[in-house]
Amino acid sequence: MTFSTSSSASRRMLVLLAGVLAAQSTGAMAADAADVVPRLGMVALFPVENLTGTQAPVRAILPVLEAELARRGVDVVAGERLAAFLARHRVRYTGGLDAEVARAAREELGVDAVLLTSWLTRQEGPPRSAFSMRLVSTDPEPKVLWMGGSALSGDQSPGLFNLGLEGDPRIVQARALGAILDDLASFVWSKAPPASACNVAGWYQPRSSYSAPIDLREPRTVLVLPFVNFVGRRGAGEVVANEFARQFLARPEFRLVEPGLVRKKLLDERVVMENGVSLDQARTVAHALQGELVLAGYVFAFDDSSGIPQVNVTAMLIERRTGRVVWESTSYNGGDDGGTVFGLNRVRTATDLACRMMSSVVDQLVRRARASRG
Amino acid sequence: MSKRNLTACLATLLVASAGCASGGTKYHDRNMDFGSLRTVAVLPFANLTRDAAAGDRVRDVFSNMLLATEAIYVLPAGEVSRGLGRVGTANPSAPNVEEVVKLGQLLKVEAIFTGVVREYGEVRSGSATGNIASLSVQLQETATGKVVWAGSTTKGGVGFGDRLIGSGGTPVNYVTEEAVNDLLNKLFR
Repeated sequence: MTFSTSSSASRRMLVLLAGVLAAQSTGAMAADAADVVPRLGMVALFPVENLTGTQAPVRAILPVLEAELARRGVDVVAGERLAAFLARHRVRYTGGLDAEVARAAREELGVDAVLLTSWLTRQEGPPRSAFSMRLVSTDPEPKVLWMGGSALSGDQSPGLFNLGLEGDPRIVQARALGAILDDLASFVWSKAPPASACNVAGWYQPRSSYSAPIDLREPRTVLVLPFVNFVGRRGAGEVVANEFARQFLARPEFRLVEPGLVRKKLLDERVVMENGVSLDQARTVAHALQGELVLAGYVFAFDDSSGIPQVNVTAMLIERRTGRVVWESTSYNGGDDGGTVFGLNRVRTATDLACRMMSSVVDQLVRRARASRG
Repeated sequence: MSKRNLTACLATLLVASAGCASGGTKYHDRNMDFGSLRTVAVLPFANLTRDAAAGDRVRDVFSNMLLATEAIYVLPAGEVSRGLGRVGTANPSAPNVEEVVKLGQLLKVEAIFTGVVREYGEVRSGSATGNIASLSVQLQETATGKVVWAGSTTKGGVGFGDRLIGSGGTPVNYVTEEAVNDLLNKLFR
């Protein structure tokens, strides 16, 4: 499958995206919020990270994002000013934020936070689109303020006589973006939580798991390392790690360390995790970032190219203090595991499936920890 | 139905269900105190199948299910990989006795598991398909490098139901889980 990235195609996409987003967005939000103070001031909109495993017009989508954020009352720094900043500081990786770049962004751009966007799925026939976004503060120690995700498929709700089928990938894409931007606006303008956990259902529980007693009475600081990727799809390890990060952020039992800080530390310490993390590596990174728990793992399947998505992930949580694995689980599911009747309950994208599975893993981890405490 | 017809029917059923594999073998060292094993390492499994990731997949399921028994602590795969690199094992899936002893000292484990994945994934029989997992695993204590337990199993395959309905069989992950369960039953029996 190929995607055109020519300028005419990009322009067409821009127009369509803007149209669909305008039609569906909560346009009144900014106006209603005139007497409400937003949670944060200016936000830098970093270029979109491409984790689709294929080509994606990441540049073309930026102006649309900028306009839609402005319509939702979020003050954004983007365009030439941001491009000059990124060039000046030689920032190439835009999937995370380290302390150095955060400080520079605060001082030079005057922003309170940086919005990081990852494009997770882009597919035609049936059209599928998934995004994740993370709002990271530009404090001396950057913190994840909010995290959201959205995954949609054109055959999500076929409805009666398939009247609900959507065949245009650009419309599906725009709807997915609209949903996530609305979530972000809710966070900025109201008291919405920093992240919301995905649906937890019995059939997404891990197939096997090990749990050692772990004390979660006080919030524990957790680092999420990139997962080792055993599948052909580029970026699958990052997508799964991203989903785990979101689920940790959604629970009060954990304090999530910004994944950009973890990545920087791994690079600084020259840590290469070819076959998974060793205990020394986990301890080194955790010690440097004051983390108590380190999550790592393996992705054995992450496929939504066929009709029914498949995900197979093993995750392990290592405690820095003891240097031991305190949790390990293996999960594998297909999109039709939820007992579908006429395809009604089917999960259509691997990203959505991964979100439900990771949420179930974290949920079971917390429940077991509570149970072990009595 | 005549006796002859009944025999013919039973023979047909037996032949039809013969593809559904099971069984396997095991060896237990009678002098070994398995209760003394607290920490073990699972080495990469040798892969004799066409699926390049079969060894890693089966090893992962085996490690996780072994840990989930809560009888033995299993070192993370990354830590085992570090140990193999430090020892300089020529063939990580089949270390020699000296390497096993060195690994034991370095990783502080009492025993190591090695394994071979002989068959994994889809098999065909006529127009019917099914999934199969066939593996053998052995346990070597690191004090002497001696094999103290070995077991093999084969699960899945093309069964009678697959021939009759043509469903494509049980998913390979479930078959692997079944095979590993069988091995763990043999280990802890």
